[in-house]
Parts: sequence; structure tokens; C-alpha cells
Amino acid sequence: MVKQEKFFIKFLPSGKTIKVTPNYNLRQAILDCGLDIGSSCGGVGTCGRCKVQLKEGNTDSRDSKFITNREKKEGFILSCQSKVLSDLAVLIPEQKKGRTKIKKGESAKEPSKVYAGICQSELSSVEIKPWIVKETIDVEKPSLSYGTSDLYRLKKSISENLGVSDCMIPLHLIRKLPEILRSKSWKVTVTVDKENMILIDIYPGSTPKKCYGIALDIGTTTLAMYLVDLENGKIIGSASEYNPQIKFGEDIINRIVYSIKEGGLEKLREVIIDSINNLIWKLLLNSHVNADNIVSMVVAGNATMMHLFYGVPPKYIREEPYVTVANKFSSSTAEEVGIKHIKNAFIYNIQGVASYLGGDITSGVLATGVSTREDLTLFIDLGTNGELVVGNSDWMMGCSCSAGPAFEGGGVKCGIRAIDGAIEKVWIDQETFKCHVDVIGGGKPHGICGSGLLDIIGEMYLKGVIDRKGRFNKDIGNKYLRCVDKDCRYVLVNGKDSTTGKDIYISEVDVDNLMRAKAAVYAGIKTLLEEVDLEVSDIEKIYIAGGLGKNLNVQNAIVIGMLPDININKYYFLGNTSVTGAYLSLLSIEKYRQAEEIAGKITYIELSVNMRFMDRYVAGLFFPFTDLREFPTVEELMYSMSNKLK
Amino acid sequence: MGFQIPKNEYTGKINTVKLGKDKSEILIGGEASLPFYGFEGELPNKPIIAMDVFDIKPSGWPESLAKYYSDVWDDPVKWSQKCISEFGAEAICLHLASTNPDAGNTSPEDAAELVNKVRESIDKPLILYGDGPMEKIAEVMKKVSEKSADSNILMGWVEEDNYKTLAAAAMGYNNNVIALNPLDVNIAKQLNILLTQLGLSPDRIAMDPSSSGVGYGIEYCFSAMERLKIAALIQNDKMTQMPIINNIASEVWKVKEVKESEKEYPEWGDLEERGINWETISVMCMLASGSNIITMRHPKAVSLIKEIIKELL
Repeated sequence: MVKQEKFFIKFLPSGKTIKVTPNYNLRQAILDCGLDIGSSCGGVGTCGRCKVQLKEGNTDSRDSKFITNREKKEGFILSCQSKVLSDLAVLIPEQKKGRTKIKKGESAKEPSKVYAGICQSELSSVEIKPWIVKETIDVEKPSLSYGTSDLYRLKKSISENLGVSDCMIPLHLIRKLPEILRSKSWKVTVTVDKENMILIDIYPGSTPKKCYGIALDIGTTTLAMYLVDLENGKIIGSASEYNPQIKFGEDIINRIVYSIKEGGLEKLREVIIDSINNLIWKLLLNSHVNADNIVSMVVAGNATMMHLFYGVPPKYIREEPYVTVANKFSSSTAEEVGIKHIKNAFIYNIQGVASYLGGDITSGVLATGVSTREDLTLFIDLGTNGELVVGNSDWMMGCSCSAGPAFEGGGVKCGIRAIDGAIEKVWIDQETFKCHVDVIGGGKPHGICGSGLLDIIGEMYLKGVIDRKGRFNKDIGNKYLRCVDKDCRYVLVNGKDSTTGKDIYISEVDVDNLMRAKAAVYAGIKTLLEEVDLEVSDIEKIYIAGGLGKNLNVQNAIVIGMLPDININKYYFLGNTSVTGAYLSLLSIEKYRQAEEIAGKITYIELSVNMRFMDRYVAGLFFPFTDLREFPTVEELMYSMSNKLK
Repeated sequence: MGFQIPKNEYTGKINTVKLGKDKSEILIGGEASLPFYGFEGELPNKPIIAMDVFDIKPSGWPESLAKYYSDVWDDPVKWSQKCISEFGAEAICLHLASTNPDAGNTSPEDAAELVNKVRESIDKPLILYGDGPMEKIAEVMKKVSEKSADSNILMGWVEEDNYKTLAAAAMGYNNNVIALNPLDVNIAKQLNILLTQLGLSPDRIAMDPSSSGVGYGIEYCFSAMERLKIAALIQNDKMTQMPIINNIASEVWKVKEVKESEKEYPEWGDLEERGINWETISVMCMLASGSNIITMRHPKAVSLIKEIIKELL
């Protein structure tokens, strides 16, 4: 047999190495090594983010508009467009990476308090009625005259003590049963899922009664997790992290495309499970909670994320007529889905509505109580997709519009998640065009989070830094505008004042990405309302959810034409409602059941085939909107500002 | 009771734009009804035919068209005069093709000089289309506007990328601009908003919604124009009330149906007749969907269209 030639690649600065066959795709080699590489196009050469520098060796690389002549001379190539032709040394530029954010003891008896500063009263409150209970019970001893089986007697005792008749006892617990029952003279502690009537775990004797649960939101861009004391509802700790699947594609479609590739689905599942394990581990370490006491986890996420989490092929979500394999997956043990540390816990998920209206939205509707109120409410979740639900206790309709990852800091060069160091608020001096920033946590800024981005765009437009098309006004004497050829950037923070040592700026491409995101959201709102023959003015409350930041300047979101021009007192910003819904479901079986009801009640409207939506979307690629009559107060504001200037 | 034609009520009106000066002055637009619906609202100014003239000898024209112009196409002045005196052109559309860096790279000064010469030698209004990259077009038109100040020429074209320079040149020297959009009502409106907010008066703008000939997507142009006119007249949307120019001759005369000989395609019939029909029908579609200025090339098609317009109005 001819020995297959292999090339040896060394990646810098990590020093990781790999052997590959000739003509192997370089980006794939990077991913195979487990290294991070930017990409939003999924490796087709259209995003220019997987740029690397070739230090030694030869590749067959296609030219790209993302590589300047100078960079070409320095050896920069797009890794996804490069085939390996020899041994290589490749420098991977530092990837923009978010740190895991852990908060300790962010405690509250009421879920609402989790959102300090955010409109708490609008979130549902809950009576704590955990459906996973841990009790110490006595099992009847067998005797010659009472010779029923161990299993029968255990079931009988569970039925008598916990009111769960005919509890299912999994095989792996039956295997341990005889010894456990006998070791502490027939006294055992059981963890029972009252909803599914399953015995989750059993210990000899009376172990401490403490029971904990985990609420998890799997977003396309961000993961958010709470560790919860199930007895009192206290949130012991919370953590968040970028979804590690980002490197395989920034949006859902690119993830699905990747999942179809050989080994793709397994890879996507592997990284997300790894990341979740990591978050759990960090939370456990910080809180000193014994892993054995974690009995359940409730997961909310959009349909694609849930498919990937459970390792179910999401392929048909992307193909007409766009159906899911399941909108709700069967409950399973943590071990079955690969979650470590809390092996015996049960994993539950929140039911979704449709392919593009997932459990995260059901969860958000649950958290905000839209389905229980009489007043007409519009619920907007600004994530990688903008999802909308309108309705009240009688009816609900929902839709989804692809907004891109901009709101969560993706697709924008200096964008980051809403973590410490993120700029969340700005103010631009009309005279000097200097930008003043507010940073989460108060320290030096590191990047800009979603709420900061919306605020900046609004300010830039109001103060004339950009025009209605989102192009920089170059003739206003703005000395914070730095142009090299056609590439212009508005510098918010100088390198010397940032944690990275690099300027924090907004480029025209960033503005374009945000423009598209805001256009999609507004077009979605208008089209959804039109479907039910409502005007924006008929809406009594508008809830905005999403991991944008702690605060959202609604006024500026209106100025740029993302949100309808109505009284800003009707708006409430609520943060991540998906994880809140999961949290509520964790605490109360009634809420968990209510989520199912909600999912069944929402009528889904498909926007991708809606001509009116497309038309409004194009009209939205303008500040605030092509038909200025839809934004009367913004026009008034602009008019009075330009008068002031004169 | 006799039959009564149902009538639409219109709340809006198309802007009136003045082209040319003194002896060459005409008005376009101003209609208060959909095209040719004279029974619904007034149509003060009929659509006009602007005949194409190039500043360099055109290439690739079929003989059936070239034969009318080959004696004058070395001299844009004579060419323009011939179009007016012999073929009845109501305006001249001068294409500054040689300003394109790939086709001679004529300087803005020389181009402006030529425009002056042509303008002064004719008694019809002048419409201009630049050529090449946006920066060059802006540079040329800026000079042209300066040299032809106060003469209400119609200069093409502005897009989102060059609107500032050109709008300023038009405002400063009292000329008009063509706002080009890619068959999109929203983008047309956006550009008009940008232009007017710079201070350019709405009655100095004509819209070119992009055109194509029969068989090459004319239906799409038709509905885009129809939407613009309906928004202007029925919804009284100020930002769609600019008159429309269709630079359609360039589209008609580049397709193979007007170029391939009868020998090659016997079933297509006589080449010249085919070309005339192709242009006439394409132009008629544009007129029926609301064109105010139309560019044309074949003299026989021009006379046919003039007859049809007369008949309809």
C-alpha cells in the first residue's frame, strides 16, 4: 500500500499541531484542532473573518476582496479558501472572545429582582411549587408474612408519602435498590419528578434535603444559566457565555448548513455540551453546591439550538416547508445528553411553536405574562433572530425575522456581549463630535454591547455624524472620523483608554449591519400587526427582551426606526426573558404546564414569503424609515435640532 | 341613464420641471392623473422624446440604425441638429461616453466645453448622461453645471454614492438632476429625500427608475413605475412626485433581436422593421406606465410614437 503523504501544520500562537492530507482545507484543520477561528459565512469565503497569516509553507489560496494587497504580501490568506500544499506554520490572529461571566450570589426570592434596574414588576411572579421533590421516606420492611418485592414496597411508600402513584423506577436505580434500601434500615431519601412520575435518584438514609436546579437559555449567540435553590427560589449564581458554535456560523442557517456536513452535527453538539458543562462546573465551584443535589435542568432555546443540543438533525428546518423534528423533546437524564457533573439530574425543555419561533419565545411569553393579561401586548425578543408575539389572554400570534447577531455584539467589529467593560450608553457632543460613554461595571471599556450599539447609531444620526443612509458625513469637521481610503471609522474611545489598547469604533459596515437588523425588526412588527389588522397605536404595552444590555434607550431605538414611534412609556425592557421563563418553570409545575399551553396557543406567521415584509424591510434601510410619516416625532426632533444648530 | 366612465380621485400631482431656457424651454410633468387618463385629471405637458446623441462615434449599432446617423456621428453638434430638424426630436440626450476612463477619459473641462457647444447650437433642451465610475461622473457634471449655469439642463445621474457633489452642482448653477434607482420604489424615495434635504428643490429632480426593453424584464419596470405614480397621485407621497425619465434606447438597441440579420434568423423577418417595432413597443410600455421623458433612436419609431401620443391625448 502506498503510504499517504501527510502535511504537518503548526498553529501559532497556541503551538497546537495537526497532520492533514494534501489539499486539506485549512480552516477545517484549524477547527479540527479545536481552535477558534472567526466565521459568519460557514466557510464559503464571503465574510472574510477567517483570515490567518502564513508564516511558513505553501497553500493554494483563492484571492479575496477581504485581503488587501499589503496583507497579501505579508502572507494573509482566508483559511476557508486555502488548501494545504506543504508543511505549514500559520499564525491565527487573536480572536475576539468573550469571557465567561459569573455572578455569585445574585440572589432573590422573587425572580423579578434578578433584573435590578429593569422593569421588575412586569415579570411574572411565581408560587414556588417545585415538581422535583426530595424527601426522606421509610420503606416497609419485608417479612416472611409480607414478602412483596423491594420495588413494590418502594413504590408504595413513594405513593403514600409524595402522592405519586405508580412511579417509574429506571433500571439503573433498580440495580442499586437492594443495597440502598437495606443499608440505613429501610430509610431512604428519594428525588422524584412529580410531573413525569419518575424516580430520579435514591440515597440511603436521610441526606440533606437540599435540592437545586439549573435554568438554561441556549441562544444562537449567547448562553445564560442560573443555578437555583428549589426550596426558596433563590438564584445562587448566574453565568453566561458566547455560544461556542459561533465559529461554525453566526446564524441559524449557517449552523444548519454545517450540521449537514459529515460529522458536523456531532461537532456542534459536542461544543455546546462542553460549554454547558463548563458553565455548570464554574457555577458549582463558585457556589459550593454539591453536584449530587442538582436534580433538574430546564432548557429553553430556539428550535435549531434545541435540535443541536439533543443531537437531532435540524436539516429540515431550513428546507421548505420548514418543519422541526420536534417542538418539544422527551425528558431525559443529564447523562443521556452528555451533561457531566450532574449526571442524575433530569433535563426538561420548553416547548416551541414552530421552526423559527422556539421554546425561548414560549419561555419569554411565560415570563412576561402576555398570555395571562387582557391588555394587548407586543413581545419582542431581540436576539440573532428578532421574534415577535402579539396578543393577550384570548389569542396570540407570532413571527420571526432574521436580524443577525448585531444586537448581541456579533457582526460588529467592536461589538461584545453585555458584560463588564461593555459600553452600554453614549452621548455625542454636538460641537466637537466627541463621544462620551457609560461602561457596564464602570471600568475601562472593552467593546460595545447591543444596547450601546443602538444608542450610538441613534446619537450618530441625531448629531449628524451619519446621514439617513448610514453613511458618514465627511464634511462636518468630525475629527473623530478616521478614514483610510474608503474605509471610515468613527472612534468612540481611543486605544489608550480601552482595555484592549485598540480604538473602539464604529465603521460604515457596522452601521450597515445594524441598519439591516433594525429594518428587519420594524418590518416584522408592522407586518405582524397588519396580519391581525391592528395599528401600532392599538398596542397597550411593548415588552422588549434580549441580552442587549442592562438598559435600552428606547428613545434612540425609535429615532433609528427600529421601534414604532409611540409613547415611550408603553415600552418595558426586560432583559433575557428566556432564561427567566426556564427559571419559573423550574420552580413551578404550573408554569411548566403553562408554557405548553402558550406554545399551543400562538399562531405562527411565516414572513419569508411575505412580499409586504420585504418591501418594508427595504424601506427600513434608511433612518428612520423611508416613509417619514410613520415617525412624526423623530422628524420633529430632527427639525428642532437642525434649527438649534442654525 | 347613460354610461358614465368611473373616475379616480387623485390627491397628489406630479411636479413640473422646467427644462432648457428661452427658446429651448419646455415643461415636463405636472399631470394630475395616471398616464393618458385625461378624463380624470389634467395632463398639462405631454411626454417628450429625447433623441440619443453620443460624443464619440458609437460602435455596435446595426446598419438599420447606423445608416441614419453615419454622416453626422463624428460631430455631436451636427448630430443633434439633424435629430431635431429631420426627425423631430423634442430634446437631445447627449451621452458623454468618452469621459469614461476606459473610452478616452475626456477631461471634465473638455466635456463641459462640448456640452456648451451643443447646447448653444440647438433650440431644444439638453439632457446628459455621464459614463464611467461615479467619481468621474460627479467630477464631469460639476464642471458641466458650472459652464452651463442657469440653463436648466438635466444631468444624469446621481446615486446614493455621489448625490452630494451633483446636487450641490445643480443647486449652485440652477440645473436639474436625474436620480437613478434600481427599479425600487423605496430606494427612489430614499434618494429623493436625501436630495431634497440637501436643499435641492423637488422641481429640479427627475427619476430614472432603470429601464429594460421588451423581452428583457419590461414588466418589472412597468410595475415599479406604476407603483411610483400611484404613490405620487393617490397617496400624495411628495417623495415620489418627480417626473420620470426612461433611458430606454440604450437598452432596446443592445439586444440581439434588433441586431441579428434576417439571413441568420429568417423567421424573425426584416431587421429594420423589427428594430422599429422593438423600440416602439418598448417605449409605448414606458409611456403607458408613466414616463415623462423617453430616449429614442430610430427616426421611424420616433414618428410612430409621436403619432400615438397625439392620438391618445
